Amino acid sequence: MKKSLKEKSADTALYLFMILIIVITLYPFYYCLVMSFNNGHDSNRGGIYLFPRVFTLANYEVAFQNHQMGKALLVTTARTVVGTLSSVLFTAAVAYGLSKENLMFRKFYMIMGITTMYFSGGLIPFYFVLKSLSMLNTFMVFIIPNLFGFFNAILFIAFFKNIPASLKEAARIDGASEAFVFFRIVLRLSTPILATIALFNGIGQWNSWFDSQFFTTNPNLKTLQLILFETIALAAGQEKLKQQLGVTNESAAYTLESIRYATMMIAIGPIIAIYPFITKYFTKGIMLGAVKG
Amino acid sequence: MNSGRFPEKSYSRGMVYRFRKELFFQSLAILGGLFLLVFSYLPMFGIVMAFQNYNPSIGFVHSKFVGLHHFKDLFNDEAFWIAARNTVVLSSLKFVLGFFCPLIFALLLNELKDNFFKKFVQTSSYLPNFISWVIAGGMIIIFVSAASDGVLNPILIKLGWIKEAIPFLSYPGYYVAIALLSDIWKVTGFGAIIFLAAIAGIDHEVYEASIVDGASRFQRIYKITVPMIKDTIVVVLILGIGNLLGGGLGSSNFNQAYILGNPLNMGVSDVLDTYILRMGLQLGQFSFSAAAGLLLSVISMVLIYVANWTVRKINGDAIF
Repeated sequence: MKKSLKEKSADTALYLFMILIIVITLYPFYYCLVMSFNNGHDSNRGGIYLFPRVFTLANYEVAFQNHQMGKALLVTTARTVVGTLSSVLFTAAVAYGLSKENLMFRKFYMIMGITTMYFSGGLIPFYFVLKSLSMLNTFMVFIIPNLFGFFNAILFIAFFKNIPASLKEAARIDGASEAFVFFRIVLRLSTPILATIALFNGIGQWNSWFDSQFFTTNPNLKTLQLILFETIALAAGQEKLKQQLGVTNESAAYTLESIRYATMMIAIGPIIAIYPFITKYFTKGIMLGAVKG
Repeated sequence: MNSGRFPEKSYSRGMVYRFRKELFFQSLAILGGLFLLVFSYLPMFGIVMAFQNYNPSIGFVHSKFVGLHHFKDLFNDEAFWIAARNTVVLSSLKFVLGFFCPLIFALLLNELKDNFFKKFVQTSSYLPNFISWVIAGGMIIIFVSAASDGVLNPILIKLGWIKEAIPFLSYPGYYVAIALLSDIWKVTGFGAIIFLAAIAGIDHEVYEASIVDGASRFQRIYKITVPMIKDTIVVVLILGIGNLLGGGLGSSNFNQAYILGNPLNMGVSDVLDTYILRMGLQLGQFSFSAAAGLLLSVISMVLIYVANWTVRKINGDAIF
């Protein structure tokens, strides 16, 4: 079919528009990357948009030398790995229980869960529950309250229901236990949904700062994002960091601002590295959620 | 429930039998129930403190009940009304934009014929959704900053639109625009996935038939695509209403206010979430803050029910 001139120009406009969208989406990332590789004092002169003008690795060196940052990286990685694995497994297990047709009290469990999606006690009562469980100021406050979310359970339930019952029955007839069926058959067939929810959980854990800020006071439990928050948003935090790093040396290649760029890139790095590989999984997972409601 | 398999008199024995037979599944479900009991339902009971002069050292049982005292104080607090107004203004604007931008973006993406280019646009558009608000906020602060490493100001000066750098975040007048634009930047690409998934499910023959019939591109979009993904649109709307007061699907109100907010723009940036946090965890007015939290929860709840009811009336089908 031949395209009319009108249609062709519409196509061109669409492509140009999409290129503009890409630029708007990605440029902030690129800008921070460029600035993170530029000499801090030189950056202060302004006018850097596309390439570093005075290339340096000093920002990254200083960022990694900051021992607080090292600790924060460790805490963040630990909570991401432990939190994600435990949460995905726990949610999948509960959802598997709820995915059984004709489960007794199923409706009760479901109503109990759905209610939590729409009504909550709010921040202050939640804080006191954590307090009475002696969870404040422990590493576990990053893990246990995040173990289970009902929205994710619903996604799992929808997926499990689509696994042919005959597969499970065959295994049961062969003498496999229910636990064996769950771990060795159901979970293995659920890679797309496991990957989707693990990705969301993992990114949530990696990005979190709120619990670290308000539920812990121990500086050893600060997450990467919290450190970033302190260096980005708080002037007081910047002063503190300045003293910590001894950023007074005018001849050094870095400034507080240029270290901030490096820190941002360190926090974004793992996400950019991982997520293109899992895109196809979460697109599938979300599609499922969309179809099932 | 009991359809003859077990005689009436052994009904309870039948339940026990059934429960034991389902023990593996039941224990998994109960595990989830216990979790919700502790981390979702206990806080709900904790709402009692909104009606008390809660004192953490003596607990709920001994704290004195004061009825609606804190609610009266709340309604007399000017800062509460400012936060409430800001919440409503920001949330409703974000809700509308957070719905239409992803929908339009998905429809446009669907018009791209080059698959590689389409994938590339799509994948890059998700990226902002996956970075934390701390970093997103940091980027925004940098972009609009009046300092030499800002981006927007030098461009505007070069274009001759302004004479000297404007510290955008120091003027309340710019805050709403910055909040909305950053929200669009962050959630549009990701929000479009769900619509794209729905569009992918439409039978291609419908389009081919319409082309034969001479439908224009625009007609195909609003006469075929949009009606065919109506169900998904409804789901997205209801999910959005669930988080409406938090700033729509991205629930960005708290993060934006906390990160982009400053004493100069507080009059427009302070929202109920930050208000509750400030009063509660930072100033220690637990009961007062819990009262505000309860109010927020109740309004959200009402909104969801109204939305659900409306959808049922219009669509004959609802989420719950």
